[in-house]
Amino acid sequence: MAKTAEDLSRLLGEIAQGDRQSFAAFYSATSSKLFGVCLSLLKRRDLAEEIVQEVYVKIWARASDFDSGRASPITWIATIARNRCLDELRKKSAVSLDELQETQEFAAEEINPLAGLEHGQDLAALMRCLNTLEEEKKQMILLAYYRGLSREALSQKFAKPVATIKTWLHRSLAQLRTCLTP
Amino acid sequence: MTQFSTDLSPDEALAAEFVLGTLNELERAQVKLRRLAEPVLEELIMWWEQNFAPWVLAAPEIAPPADLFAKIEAAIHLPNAVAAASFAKVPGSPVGVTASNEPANDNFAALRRQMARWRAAALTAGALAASMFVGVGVQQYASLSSPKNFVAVLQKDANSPAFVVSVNVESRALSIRPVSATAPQGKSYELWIINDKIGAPKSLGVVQNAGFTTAPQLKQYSSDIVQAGLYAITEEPAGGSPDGKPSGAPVFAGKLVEAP
Repeated sequence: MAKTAEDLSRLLGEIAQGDRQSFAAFYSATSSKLFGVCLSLLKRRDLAEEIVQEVYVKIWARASDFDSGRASPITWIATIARNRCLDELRKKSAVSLDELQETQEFAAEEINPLAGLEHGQDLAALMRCLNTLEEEKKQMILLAYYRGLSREALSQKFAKPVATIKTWLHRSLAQLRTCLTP
Repeated sequence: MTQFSTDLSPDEALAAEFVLGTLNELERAQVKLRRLAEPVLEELIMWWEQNFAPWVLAAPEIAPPADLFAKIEAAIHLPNAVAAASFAKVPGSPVGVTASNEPANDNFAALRRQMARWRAAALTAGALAASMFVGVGVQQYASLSSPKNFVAVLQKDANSPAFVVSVNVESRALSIRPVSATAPQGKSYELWIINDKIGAPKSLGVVQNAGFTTAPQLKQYSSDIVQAGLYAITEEPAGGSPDGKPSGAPVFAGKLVEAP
């Protein structure tokens, strides 16, 4: 990501005015991130490509919705993309369960420490909080976030009833919330 | 977020799991519907999105196929078109409903001419999209939905949303939830779909006073009727209309817009 949040915000402002060159610059600065987010969730390039395309069409149409007071541009679009991919994944839950066998353990090394230097401190704080969880719970949270595993898929993965997974999730999330609350 | 207990409240847990990604399809659809009308839930979702943002930013960067940008440009390259219209060019996306505040179409106009009795409610629908994007407070941070998911706010006027309807036009699954409406004692609220292609208003069933009600009856109509239809609520005798026809004019109505 060669461009700063300010650069991307400016580009979004220009895109809202219909500036295609700015749109191209915005795409080139952000598309690898969006494709990475979607591919790690969906695992299928064709689906990831379809969703990323849809998200950029949406960005073109709704760049004026962006509010820099609420999120950075990259957070805004990555969140939009991730949510669309989760929707897609849940629609194809049968597929994701079939593919569960192939789901690798999520290695913390996959988290790119250089990702968004602007957010480095926030990432460090989040990881510090994550590390207060037991190893199994930590793995569960990361598999859910980065691999898109549903409660049912986590239940298979950890060989625990869905109700247990739900309890684990809620306790872990409560612990994260307490840790993340200043 | 000012006060936390050691346990998550049901809505806190729902918001957290929504952001984490562990909810199933129906639960996700319900959260997306509720966040439109419930600022407290929206705030909880925002809190988790902001706090988990470092993770989404730390996802690996993988270059997309080289021809993807050309496809995107082709999808948005509409001479003199308003930007929002580009939604209609996305493969698989609905045609004719955009993010603009102009949901009315020819069917709707014809319907209004034909059905004077329903006129007041039908006119209300014209203000629907505006209220969705202003009054109800759709968040910019939350353009989250599949293009096949639509929502409608059924209301008397732009300031009084009474029901929120969520429809997947592909599967024709509908759920409706009251925001502020409660049927008067001894009465039931009944949901109807109105479209000139299907003649008289068709019942989608009685709506519960709380929680989500689904309407399997919608599956008998084609996706274009489902998407273009006017959704209206009438006040009926307890248990619903005795003869399958609305007993009076709609008290709340609205049209679908693409879920933000």
